[in-house]
Amino acid sequence: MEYRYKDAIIINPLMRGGIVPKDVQERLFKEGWTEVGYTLCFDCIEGRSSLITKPPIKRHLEDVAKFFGGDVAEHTFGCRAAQYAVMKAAKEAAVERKLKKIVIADPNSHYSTNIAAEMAGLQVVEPPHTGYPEYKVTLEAYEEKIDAIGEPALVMATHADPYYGNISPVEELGKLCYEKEIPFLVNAAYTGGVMPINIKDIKADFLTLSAHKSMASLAPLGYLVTTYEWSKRVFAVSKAAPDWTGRGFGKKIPGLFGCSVGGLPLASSIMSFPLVKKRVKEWPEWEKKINAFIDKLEEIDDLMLLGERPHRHHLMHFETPVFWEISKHHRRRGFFLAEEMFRRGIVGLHKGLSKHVKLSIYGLTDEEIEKVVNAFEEIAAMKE
Amino acid sequence: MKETEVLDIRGEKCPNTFVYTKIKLEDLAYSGGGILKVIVDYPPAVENIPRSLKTEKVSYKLLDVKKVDENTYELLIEAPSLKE
Amino acid sequence: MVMDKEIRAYLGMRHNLVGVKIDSEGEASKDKQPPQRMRFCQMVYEAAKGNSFEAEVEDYSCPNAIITLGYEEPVYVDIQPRINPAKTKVVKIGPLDELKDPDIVLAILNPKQVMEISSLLEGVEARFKGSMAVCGEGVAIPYTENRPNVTFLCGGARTFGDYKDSELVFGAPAETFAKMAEKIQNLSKTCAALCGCRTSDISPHIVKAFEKLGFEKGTDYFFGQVDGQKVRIYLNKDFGGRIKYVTIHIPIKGDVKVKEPMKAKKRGPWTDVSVTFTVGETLDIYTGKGLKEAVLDIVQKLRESK
Repeated sequence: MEYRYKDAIIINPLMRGGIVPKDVQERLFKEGWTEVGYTLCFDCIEGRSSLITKPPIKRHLEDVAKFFGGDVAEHTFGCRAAQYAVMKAAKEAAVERKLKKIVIADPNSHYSTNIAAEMAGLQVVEPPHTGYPEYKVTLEAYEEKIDAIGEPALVMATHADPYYGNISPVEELGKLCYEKEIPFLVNAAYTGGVMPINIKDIKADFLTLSAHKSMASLAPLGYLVTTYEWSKRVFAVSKAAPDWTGRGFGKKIPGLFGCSVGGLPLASSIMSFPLVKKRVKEWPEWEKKINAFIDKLEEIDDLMLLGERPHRHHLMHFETPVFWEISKHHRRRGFFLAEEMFRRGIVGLHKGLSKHVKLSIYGLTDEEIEKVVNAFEEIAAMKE
Repeated sequence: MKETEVLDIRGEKCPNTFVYTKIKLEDLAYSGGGILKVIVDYPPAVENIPRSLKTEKVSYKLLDVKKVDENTYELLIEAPSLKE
Repeated sequence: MVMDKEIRAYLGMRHNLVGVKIDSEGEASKDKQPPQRMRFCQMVYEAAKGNSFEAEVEDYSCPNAIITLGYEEPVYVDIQPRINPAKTKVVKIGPLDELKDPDIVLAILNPKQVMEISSLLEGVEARFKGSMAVCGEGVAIPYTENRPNVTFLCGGARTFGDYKDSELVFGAPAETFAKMAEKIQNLSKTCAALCGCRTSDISPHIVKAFEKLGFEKGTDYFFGQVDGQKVRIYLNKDFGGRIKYVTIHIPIKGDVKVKEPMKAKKRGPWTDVSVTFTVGETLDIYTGKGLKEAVLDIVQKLRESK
């Protein structure tokens, strides 16, 4: 087993926001947090990691809730687990209130949204996007879908989507759902911890986050931020009562599989959180840098950004016909692109693809960004 | 040569064709031997029965195979006497 | 053999795939000859469980297989199906990953699995009549006609062969199975686009029609080059998710002015020139009819307007 990418520049857009700061990495190792999978659990009294006060997990979760404008937060085994908890609660509420067992989710949602719905027994219905080349999801499309469905169990929007990096109209949607009294979930896996998002401001009921995607943390770790109103249902504790032993599990939360991470990922996230809070304030500068990068890349042959512009997120999806042309004659076919990048010390492009690339430069130094631009330029020049 | 008994198993297919033939031939052998006429309308049985007879411990003898019409065949088989 | 793994995993098969090799020379190796006379269908079921056999004519307890597998010619009646002329000396039967170069491969399947196979192969024309089934319908037909077949087994197999009521046998030349394995691999490959998920539900028929015109599928649209111009074709869906329109996009760097029905939209340094057609009027996306003409027409008009 060998880690080949140690000193490479990572441009995988799902990873950039999750890169663990060097000093945190060192602390984790030096202080011994890597010793066992339960390093945060020794002083656990109540039997659930989110209730631990030493180290200050409980306070950290209060911090997280406050930072994202919610009342209550729990940490989860990844964002998908947070989404599942929401879907399960929304489904139960829908059954009680005789609503449709449907979640209206944007057509650019991550697969885990759809899997979570499937597990919770909700059917996913999608408002259409605008199609090539922008793939935008509009408030009108949601409105039309909501009207067609009647009363769905849940409306969800992926704040920035994982395909094009488009930003969903979450403010308008929040208002609409608030008026219609439909529970509203925003999946901020790609944004929360990178750019501002506040559920009080957007009137959302739930915010799901991915610490290893956007909060400079190790995986797997997610957060679910919600309101007091919903927390009672989403974080309802176990009522299980096995018949023979008569045991009870009253502190465990079934929707989160009982008790969540108590080791390294959570330690890393707690240590990174001050930085995360600080860097979110710097987002406007990154927005400028990203759009400047897009301009530069579009000067190369026929590289063209898909998705909205000006771009409001660091995930960029370029159509790259020139690389596709090269791949047709290249010995390594579609694999040549990722391999050529790696030869230049850059990793994270999806292997085997040449017609499209998704990437991010978030958090890179100006020098590193220039290196990425140069690499694309050089590879495009391979065209015969 | 006149048959001692007739076994009309039209409508039957393998492996029943041979199973019924074998049972009937054993009856005949233990009651003093004789000639059995088997009527079948399943062509593969015409190949199957004679071949299967060869693998039996008792030495049955195939005397004749006759096509009666389109799909119907008559097989004449001699059973030795096994009566003690 | 990778093929065995691939297909079994895809279909969720309980048993091994069974390879059958018909040899017209040589003799059975002694350690693989059946311990007593057996039916061919029995040997197949045993092979599905992991045992290997090499059988000569004396090893069979069911004479039908002797004819269908071509060991002997029929004497009184011509029996079909059978391997003809009869030159078979040894038939090797074993788990596919142990048998080298099989002629025929057999799969013991339930009806749902047969359905999955048939949709993978875009149809299987089956011929069966409940007699001489595993040997004749499962091996002789695929062997002599070089095509797959499905058999519902016969009384012999159902009585002596251990087969369950819910089991059928699918038999086909080894190449058919190789093709199947390749298709299964491709299925998982096409799923690998961008995030490990399928990015559209554009049917393979449509993709094929576009490929014939020299277009290749990207995420959810097509790329191609027509008359030196790079062209993208996007299939627009209506509110209910049905493909209703075809939009031809030609992004061009800089400013471009176009005439109706073309539209030009400025996006950053690009002008996205596009034309939208309603599917069905003059365009058929399933055959590609009218598409090339439409694209050519636009490329030419665009050139004139430049």
